Amino acid sequence: MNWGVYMLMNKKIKSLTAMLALAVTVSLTACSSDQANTASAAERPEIGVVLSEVGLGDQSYSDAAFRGLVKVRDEDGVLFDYREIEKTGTYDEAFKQLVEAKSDLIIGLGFMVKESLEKSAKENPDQQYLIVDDKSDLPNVASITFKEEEGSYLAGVVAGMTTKSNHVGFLGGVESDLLAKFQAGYEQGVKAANPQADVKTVYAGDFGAPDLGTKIAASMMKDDGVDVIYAAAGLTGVGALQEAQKEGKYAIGVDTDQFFIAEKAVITSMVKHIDNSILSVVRTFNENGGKFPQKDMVFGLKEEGVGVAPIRIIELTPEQQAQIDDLTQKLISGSVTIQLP
Amino acid sequence: MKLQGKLLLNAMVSLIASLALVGYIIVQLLQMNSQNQTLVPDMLNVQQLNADMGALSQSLDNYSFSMTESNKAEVTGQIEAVNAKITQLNNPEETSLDTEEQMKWLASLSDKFKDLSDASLKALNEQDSTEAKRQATRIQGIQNDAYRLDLLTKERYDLYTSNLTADIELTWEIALVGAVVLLVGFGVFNVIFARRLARRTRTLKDAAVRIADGDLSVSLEKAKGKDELDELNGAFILMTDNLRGIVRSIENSGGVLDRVASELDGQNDKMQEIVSQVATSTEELAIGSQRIAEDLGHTVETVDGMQRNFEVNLSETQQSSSATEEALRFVEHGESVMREQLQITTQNRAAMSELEKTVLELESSAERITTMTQHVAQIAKQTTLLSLNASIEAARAGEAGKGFAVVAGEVNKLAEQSDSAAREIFTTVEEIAGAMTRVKGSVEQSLTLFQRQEEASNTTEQSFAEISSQVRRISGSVNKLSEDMQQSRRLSEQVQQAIENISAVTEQSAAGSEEITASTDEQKRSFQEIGGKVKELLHVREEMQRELARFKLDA
Repeated sequence: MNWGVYMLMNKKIKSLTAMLALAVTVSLTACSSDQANTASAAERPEIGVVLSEVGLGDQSYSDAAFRGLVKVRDEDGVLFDYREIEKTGTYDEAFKQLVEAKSDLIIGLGFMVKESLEKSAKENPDQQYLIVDDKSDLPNVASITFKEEEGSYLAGVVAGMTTKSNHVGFLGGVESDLLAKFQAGYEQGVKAANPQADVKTVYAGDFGAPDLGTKIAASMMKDDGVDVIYAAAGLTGVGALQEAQKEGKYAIGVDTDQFFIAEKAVITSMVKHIDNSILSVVRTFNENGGKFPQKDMVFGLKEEGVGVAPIRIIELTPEQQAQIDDLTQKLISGSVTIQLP
Repeated sequence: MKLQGKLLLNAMVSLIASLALVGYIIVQLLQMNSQNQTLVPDMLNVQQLNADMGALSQSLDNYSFSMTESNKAEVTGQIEAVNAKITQLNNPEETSLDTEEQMKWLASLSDKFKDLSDASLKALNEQDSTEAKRQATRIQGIQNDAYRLDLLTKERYDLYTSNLTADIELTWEIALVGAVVLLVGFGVFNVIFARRLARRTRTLKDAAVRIADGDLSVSLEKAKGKDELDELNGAFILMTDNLRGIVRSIENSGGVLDRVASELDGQNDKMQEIVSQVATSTEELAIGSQRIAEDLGHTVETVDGMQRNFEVNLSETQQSSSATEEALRFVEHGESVMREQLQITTQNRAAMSELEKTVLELESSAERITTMTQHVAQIAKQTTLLSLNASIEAARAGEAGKGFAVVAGEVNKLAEQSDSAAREIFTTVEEIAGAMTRVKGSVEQSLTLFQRQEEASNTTEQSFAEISSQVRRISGSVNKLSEDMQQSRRLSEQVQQAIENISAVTEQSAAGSEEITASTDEQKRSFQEIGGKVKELLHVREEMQRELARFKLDA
């Protein structure tokens, strides 16, 4: 073989080597591109929630929490599942199922589930829990509580400004410390706006009985001359709202904006932004690697955890509106404080 | 394998490898295509279900605000639509929802929806707006299940898609790498193949050039393959071997030629010498022949003389024969006389023997006398001794013994007389013995003489017998001689004849010798010619050697 052919062959080998190198590089690049991908279902945080007594569709508490979770799901990709006592029979069973489903965080709604939640938390000390609307001393149970008294205070201010008979009503679901905060805030708010007004307080002893709410509301309006009822009683309160509309009186909803239940009666609602609060708390939980930096979290006006829905039906004077805004600022700043029982 | 076959095989292998690569790609693509046909419809169905439930929630909500028949119908329609979707998703023939988790969520969803649809229909029938509203909200729970199901389905689809992408990439990479490997592999293989082919051809070419230059020390390795080049290689090796063999055998035969030529030369010289010798010998032979001829002339004469002598001898011999017969008769007469004389001699001898016997008897008598005389002498001696002893004893006895001493003296005298008598006898006997001996001697002498006479007579008789036989033999011989003489004469005649024949032959031989001389000369000339040819041969051989020197046999 002469030199010319030899050189040609060398050149050939060089070009082949280059091609081989190219092929290897391409395949390596192809491999590395596989890594950037959205987290799969198994890798996403999973939250289990035990809804309150009535469950989904209660038009207040559970729905708000559910909305919050849907928001977290849609915005942050967090997955959740829920349990209702209607299906599980007991709260204990509901918590047990969620523990078995290996949830990263188990949320219990309302003081009604506290006992079962704490029982489950004791059995599973490594499992993180979150209770809404109550507190627990257990280290693995975080809590969200609301300054319902602040929202109720504003609701009371609106009620005091609205009443003509100077008789306003308070319908509580079941008598408890929590409801006492509602009651106290409401009463002090009414007094702040209308010192002449008095408050008729009735506890229905049930959160899920609209007919009972209807009955109590009817009695309040008929027997006590009440023309504004603040119904802090879940589904029971829905009956009261509808009864007020029926009687041509006014009512104030609770937890969510309940205007659409009785569009001729509901002037506002004491809104607990459970959805936003849950969204905020779950985000914090996820951002801190599955831990809460603060065990007990309190949401008030300042934190936009509570507030009042837009005022409808009645017309407030600019002075009245200014007074509401002023009181709101004072509650946020702390210059006005509410006396709790 | 043949070269053509190898080249074809190379091409076929490259082609088949390329086809295999293409086949692999096609199979991979077909597999990808056939992997899942229902994933996308499933995903769409789940999403559709989610949307349908959203719509149902909306219509339930609407109904809760305005419980009109149209809203009711809308709700019923939506429920049926969702129901149909759920039924479809639950039908294993129409979906590929099959993982445990998917099934869990689908079951949860179906269960919840059943409750919801029952409750919703009840609310519709009872015109319960609160319940309708509640159910509208509760749909969110089912939607969450649908969301989870959708997520899993999407994930599965994404997995499928990423797997598909990875598969496609892998296929593509394998194809590329395969193509590169094929290209490099066959490129290198073909280059090596071509180089090997070129090298093998070059080796053969170099060998051919060297062989053309006469260098036969080329040693090609034996090829293992079977293609044309290997066959050529084999043929080359064979050819080189054969050439080497030829050159070697030519060289060898050159050596043999040298040896033969020189031997031939030597032989030729020897031959010439021999021929010369033959020539000389032939001349000598010719001369010899002449001499023989001459000698034969003499011989004939001699034989003639001999013939004549034979005849004289013959007559003489016949005379001798008659004389001999005469002699024989005398001899026989002498013989009979001798026999008579012998008889007398024998009788004499017998008488002499008788005499001898008598003498011998006398001799023994004389000996007996001698012996007896000796006894007497012995007795005398003893008697003397006894007398001595008696004297001694008498002396001892003294006076008493004096008488005895006288007796003893008498005895002693007697003894001495006996002894002298004995001596006389001895002397007489000896004289007799002497006379006897003389008689004996003469008798013996006579006997010996007789014996000799007898022997002489015998000898004479024998001589006569011998003479007789000799004379008879001579007579026979003479007769024989006479016959032989005649035979000899006949033979002599034959000899004469033979010699004449020999003479003739000798003349012929002389003529032959001349012919031999002539042919020998001719032979000599031929040998000289052969010598010349041999020299020519040697010359050619030298030339050949010069030519052979061009070939190199060993490295």
